[in-house]
Amino acid sequence: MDVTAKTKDGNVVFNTSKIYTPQSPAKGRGDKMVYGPFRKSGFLADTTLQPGQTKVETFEIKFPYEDVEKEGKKVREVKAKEMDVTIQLWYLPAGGDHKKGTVGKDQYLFFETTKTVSVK
Amino acid sequence: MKRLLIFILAMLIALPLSAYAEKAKSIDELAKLYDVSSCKKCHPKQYEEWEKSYHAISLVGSPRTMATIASTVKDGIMKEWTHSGVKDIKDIKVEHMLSCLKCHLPQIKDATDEVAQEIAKAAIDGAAGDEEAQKKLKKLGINCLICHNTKAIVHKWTDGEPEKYAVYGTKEGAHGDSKYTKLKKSPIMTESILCGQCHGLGPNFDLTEPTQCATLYGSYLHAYIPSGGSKTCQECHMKENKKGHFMPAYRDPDQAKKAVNVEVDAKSLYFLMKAGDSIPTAYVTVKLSSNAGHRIPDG
Repeated sequence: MDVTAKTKDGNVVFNTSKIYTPQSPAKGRGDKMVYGPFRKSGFLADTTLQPGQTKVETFEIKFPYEDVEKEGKKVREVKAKEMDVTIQLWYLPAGGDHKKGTVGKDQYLFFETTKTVSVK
Repeated sequence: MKRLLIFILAMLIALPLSAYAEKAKSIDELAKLYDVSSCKKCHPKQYEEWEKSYHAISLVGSPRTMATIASTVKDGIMKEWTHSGVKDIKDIKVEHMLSCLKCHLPQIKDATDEVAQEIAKAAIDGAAGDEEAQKKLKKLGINCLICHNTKAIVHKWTDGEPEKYAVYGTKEGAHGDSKYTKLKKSPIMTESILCGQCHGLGPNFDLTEPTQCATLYGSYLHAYIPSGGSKTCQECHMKENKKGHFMPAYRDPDQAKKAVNVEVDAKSLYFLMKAGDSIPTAYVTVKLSSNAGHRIPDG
């Protein structure tokens, strides 16, 4: 899942990803995650979405600001009082970097929305 | 002479029946042995749905499956599995390819080692871009006969072996085909265990070198059912979506939408960490609820 916040002039001020995936070791031993059914046996960890369960993720995103001095006083100037936050949930059947993959082949977009947030 | 005849007769009786079963010696022969083209005449809808599915091209897939079979042969069987006895494609036997073909081509049980070698080579060539090799692999797949015969019975000491020329479904009777003349009832045709045979519990401990591909059935049993789930694989992937034998999963937008519900809430405020340090902050909360009968994603 990708979460990206942009100001109205297109500057990216926040960008993060959460990965939900089973993580398997080779031959059911050790602590290294591997790819390939011929290597994998067992799980080291499993952060996938589980049936009947809800995962709640909260992201705290700071609006861009700058502290300046005006008439001898420190003043906080909010550079952008509005941001668009886009949430995308991707399904990557073979893992990898989805920014390099092909939509509909290496990666499938399960969900996307953009929320506008603002402060006064 | 008489003694020789008695010996030959005794040997014939002693040999298991399977020894007489004719095995396919090439991909073409195996495709012919499992030909399902006659099914289309009476079941066009189901056939056309199936034709578009990944089941129909289970040795190629997206084509990630073909690439995975190729790397299993090159990097696994011939390289990392140092005790496999395989140095070259010609050393490959059916048992080596079961790592993949146990599920991706159960009909391999009716093929010789030569077919296992032909598949291994075609997967390597196909993954390298050889279109002819890809076409060859597409001749084989999980077809009508796999679910409606080979895999239609799990508990064989209870229900017996699947009959060779019977089509298993939900009814008993005659079947209007010149070869597959019987319609038999499968005790599991509408049950999840039918799909679970291949959609995985975890490591395949029945293999000499256990591999792990799908784990969906394990998740279904140990997470979905304990969470109160009561649907079968067939209900979600065939009936409710009205997509029948296409049986879509993640690459189908409707199936994806149904599988995960996402709610997003956002608000902003000036957060006061300490006096005089007011930070304009947005709080974005994402709730991901899985409605699927198994982990998402599998892998």
